Parts: sequence; structure tokens; C-alpha cells
Amino acid sequence: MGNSTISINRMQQFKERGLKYILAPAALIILYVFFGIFGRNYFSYPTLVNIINAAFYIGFIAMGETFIIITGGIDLSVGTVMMASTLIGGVALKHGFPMVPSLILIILVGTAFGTLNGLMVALIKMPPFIATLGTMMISMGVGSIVSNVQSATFPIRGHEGGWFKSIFLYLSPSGGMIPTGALLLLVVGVICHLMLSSTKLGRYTYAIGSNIEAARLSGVNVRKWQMMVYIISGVLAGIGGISYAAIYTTVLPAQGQGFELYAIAAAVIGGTSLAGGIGTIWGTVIGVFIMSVLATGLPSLNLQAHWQTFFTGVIVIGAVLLDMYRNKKASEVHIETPADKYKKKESEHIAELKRELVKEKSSGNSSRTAELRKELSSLQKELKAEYSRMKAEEKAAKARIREEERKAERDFAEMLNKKNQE
Amino acid sequence: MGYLIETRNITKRFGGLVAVDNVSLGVNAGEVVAVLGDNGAGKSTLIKMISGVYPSDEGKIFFNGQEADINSPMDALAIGIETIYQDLALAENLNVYSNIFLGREKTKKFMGFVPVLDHDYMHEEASKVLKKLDINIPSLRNNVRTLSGGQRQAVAISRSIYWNAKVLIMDEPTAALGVAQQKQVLDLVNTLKDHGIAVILISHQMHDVFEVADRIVVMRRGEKVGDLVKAETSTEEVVNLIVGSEMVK
Repeated sequence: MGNSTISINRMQQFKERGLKYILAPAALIILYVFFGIFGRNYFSYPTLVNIINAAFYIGFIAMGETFIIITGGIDLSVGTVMMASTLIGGVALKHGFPMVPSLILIILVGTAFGTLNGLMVALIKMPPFIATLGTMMISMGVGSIVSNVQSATFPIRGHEGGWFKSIFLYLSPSGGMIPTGALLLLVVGVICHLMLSSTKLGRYTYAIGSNIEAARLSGVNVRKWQMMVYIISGVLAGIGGISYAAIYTTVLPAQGQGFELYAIAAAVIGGTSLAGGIGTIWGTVIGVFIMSVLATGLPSLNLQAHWQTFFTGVIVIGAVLLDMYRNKKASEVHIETPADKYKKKESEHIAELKRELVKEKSSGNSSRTAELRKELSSLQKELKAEYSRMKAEEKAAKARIREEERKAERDFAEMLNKKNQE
Repeated sequence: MGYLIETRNITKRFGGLVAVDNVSLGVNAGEVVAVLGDNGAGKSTLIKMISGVYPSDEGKIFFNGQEADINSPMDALAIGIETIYQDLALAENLNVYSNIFLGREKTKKFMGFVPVLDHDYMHEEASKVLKKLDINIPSLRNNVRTLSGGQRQAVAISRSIYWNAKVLIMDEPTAALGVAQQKQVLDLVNTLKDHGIAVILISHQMHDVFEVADRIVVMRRGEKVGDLVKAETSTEEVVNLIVGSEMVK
């Protein structure tokens, strides 16, 4: 009996959780297939490479954003920090810095801004929205000041230092394209996922987002771990900046604003809750690719870029609505009616018979197995009929009660009316 | 016999407000002491000093006859003082065993140097302690969000027991519970008493207090105004002390 209840629990868990995990990937696949059928030339290798290329920089910053949103915070500065660090790296390159130190500098600048956010949020206890809004403006200003409001251009392929582009997109001499960056995104994704699921950092990230006071009282060093997630976000903004430079070569000082909103949108589409405590890296990656498929797919339907923003908005709202619906379902108190109890009891009985059947089958008792089979099918039929009958009865009873309540209300209102007229 | 946990002349001020004024309180092992008082009488502040949330301004805390230096919740936990807060202090989006191990996760080394969480170990240990306390929770992998109030309370208590609590402080343990669940929690308090744990219970519910407490301490406006043995007192006397129409030394 113990076993069968567990399997029923598992089924229910799958129904609740499975739905949650399958929805976003399903949406991604449906979108991809949709554009493949209706778009021009969409099912092609270059398009796939385009999708991946469009996903990089948002992908990296969205992962960092996911960490922060799970702690219940928000980082509005990721986009401009990414651009500022890339600009600073570009300026260093222009002044004769070699390639590798320049790339490291980009990551360091990102980390520095992340640390600044962490200090403000974790130590000074500033609201993350305000703290990172400040950092967003500061980093944008810093980018413009350091670059003297001029664009930074990274070396193109074939020139000195141009090799770094191959980290994200490898072009073979024969003209083939290999999006090596997908591999890097995957590696960083796996590392982030493992950090969230299997380390103390991850456990505390969720704990802080669920109940920061509980985490503190349990002896978790909340400051330290809050600080950590903002630093991680800064590092990832740096990596995102490098990928941006590799794909687009030229970086403009005015760019970056708005990217943070795409990062937040990706996390939300992927099931991360802005209330904190809930979210996964995979969800976010899927969210990033959904936006990337939209960005590349809509032009293939002759719809221009502004349609992408429009549809992204629709999807974000849809994702949040779904999340709200699921939360409502999850927190609803489920009262077991006699019908549910009957079903549970009979299901257990059936599961027991099934196990016996398997046992008898393996011991080769054919007459007994046939008997059991017959019994099973009749039981299942009976369960189905009886359950639907009981459910219908309960529904009718509920409707009757509601009708009575309404009638009583009407009577009451009438009574009041009469009183008032008198 | 000396007290297991004792505060001597402990005081806490918030600006000009004296939240706890010169309070001495002792609890023996295996004893349940209830702290009663009106809202703002300083009950919560008092226990928060014992559990390390607030440092005390004056006075000392003794554990097992030794002066204890408690400056953070971690210090208190380290010597075996566990607290179960009113809002339960559980992380709702973490599962049962993660909550039992929150802040003290067991890790193992991955590839010899990367510390990763040992989920299996924590799951197994958690189910052992729940069994020991006769607590029934369907799956330890379920998020605490899905549990009932009584089950959450049980998770919080079993967490303390697992971490070898010697002193257990409970802040309004039955406040948000239904009648049947209240009884379960009170039974659990009696079990804890049998295990030789010193329990400090804060409650508004006179009924609970008289059911499980051995001694009743009454606070009013930050001061301790009464320290009564349950067997020798009455509800009336306690109520009079709480509202301030009588003073017993």
C-alpha cells in the first residue's frame, strides 16, 4: 500500500511540476516550428546560427539576473554595465593594450560594478531597484566618459587579436560557421545551474528569496551571499560584453539601456518569480531563446523589429499570468470529497492487484493471471463509472446549495427594499 | 541544581525606550517556563537576546553555569539554544530537509575539492528525526509551502531537535493553528520535556500555558513582575499580574 500511495503522489507531482517545466520549452519549439513553416527560409543552418548569435549577450546577463531575482532583488544595471565594460576594454585596446588583458579588463570592470551593487544592497540595505538604477546611470556615464563618446571598435577577423571572435563564432577556412559560443553559453549555463542546485550559494540564494529573515535566523550570512549574487551578475555582464563585442565588433556608448529589461523578461518567461525564491537557469535560457527566435523569426514573416518588442511583451504578460494561475492553484486548499476518497482507495486496490499480476506472470501461473486481468478490467470500469457518478452528484449538490444561497440573498435584498420603501 | 539557562539583570534599550529592564530568569533542564505579558511587555525582546538576535545592553547570560558570550544567532545555536519563531522562520520555497539543514548544510567534496550539497545524506537524516518525534510528512522533497501550519511547526521543532537543542525557545507556537494541531504541538512540547530539554514558551493563550508550563513568568513594561509555580497559582492571579493590578515579589 505504501508503494502505491507514493506512485500516486508522484503522478500528482508530475502533473503539477511537469506542466511547469514543459510549458516554456514547448512554447519555444512551437514558435520555432511556426516560423519554420510560415517564414522564408527559416529552417536553415545560417538562421539557426543567427538565433544563437542573437541569444548570447542577453543569455549571459539573464543568467546573472536570474540569481538576483531568485534572492528577491533586481538588477537594472546589467545592460549598461555590460556596455560600459566593453567600451572600457575597447579603449584600452586602442591605447595599445594586448587582447587578453583587455578581455580580462572587461570582466574586471563588470565585476567591479557588480560589487558596487552588492555593497549598496547587502551592506547599506538600499532597495535593489534604486541601487541598481543608480549603477545603471553611473555605468552608462562612465562608458561615455572613458570612451569620450566615441564608439569602440574591436579587431575584425584576420587582424591582430581578431581570434577572440572565434570564441563565439568559428568560421572555418572553407566558409562554414560553427557557433562555438553556444558551447560557452552551455558551459556557463551548466556551471550556474550546478551552483544553484548543488551548492550552499544556491541553497542560500533560494532561502534569501523565500524568507530573508528565516535565512538570517538560521545563521546564514545573508550579507555575504547577497553580495555574491550581485558579483556573479557583474562577472556575467562582463562575459556578455565580450560576446557582444565578438558578434557586433563595434560598441556604441549609447547602447545597453533596455538590455536589462530583456534579461528580466527572459527570466520571467522562464518561470522565475519576481517575488523571489523561485526560478531556474534552464528556464531563463529557454526564455532567452524564445526572444531570440522571435527576433529572427518575425523578419522572416516580413514583420519588422518593433513587432518583436510587441510580441515579447505579450509573452511576458502571458508567462506572468500563467505563473499567477499556477500559484493560485498550488495554494488552494484541496478538500477531499467522498468521491476523491473513493477513487484513492480503489486506485490503491487496483495498484495492488497489478503488482500481484506482475508477480504471477513472472512465476508463470497462467490461469491466475487471466483471472486477475478480468478482475482488474472490471474494477477499472466500475471505478470509472462510480467516480463520475459520485462527482456528478457532488456537482449537483454544490449547484443546489449555491442556488439556495442566491435565493436567500434575493429574499433578503427584497426584504430590505420593502423596509426601505416603508 | 543550577539553571541550564539563565539571564542575570539583563537590559535592552531601543533609543529612549527600555524594552527589557533588569530581568533575571532561569530555566532548568526538562522544565517548561512560560513567559506571559501584554503586547509590548518585552517578551519577544527578552527571548531575542537569549537567542542572539539582539545583543543585550547590560547583564549577562549563563549557560550551564558558565557565562555565555552570545552576539549572534550562530553563537546561540553553537551552544544549543534553538528558537522557533512566530512566523516559523522556514524558507517556504525550500523542501523539508533543506529547511532542517538550512544554514548548516552537509556538503561532500566533488572531484576532491568542490564542496557540493549532500542531498541524500540530508534527506535520510531528516526522515530519521521526523520518525523519532513521530511526525508524519508525506514527502521530504515537497516544498514547505505545501505543508499545513501544524506540519510546518513540526518541521521547525524537529530541526531544533536534530541540531541537539538543549534550550528551546518557542514564540507563540500555537498562534496560527487549528485546535487539533494545537494539541499536537503541546504534546510535542511534553515530549521535549521528557527528553530533558529546557523550554521557554511565549504565549498569549492562557490555556496552553497552564497545560504545559511548570513555571510562569509574567512581564509588564519590560520588567519581570512575577515568577510563579504553576501548581500554586491560578489564571486569575496571572491575569491580574499581566494587567497590573497586583505585584508579587
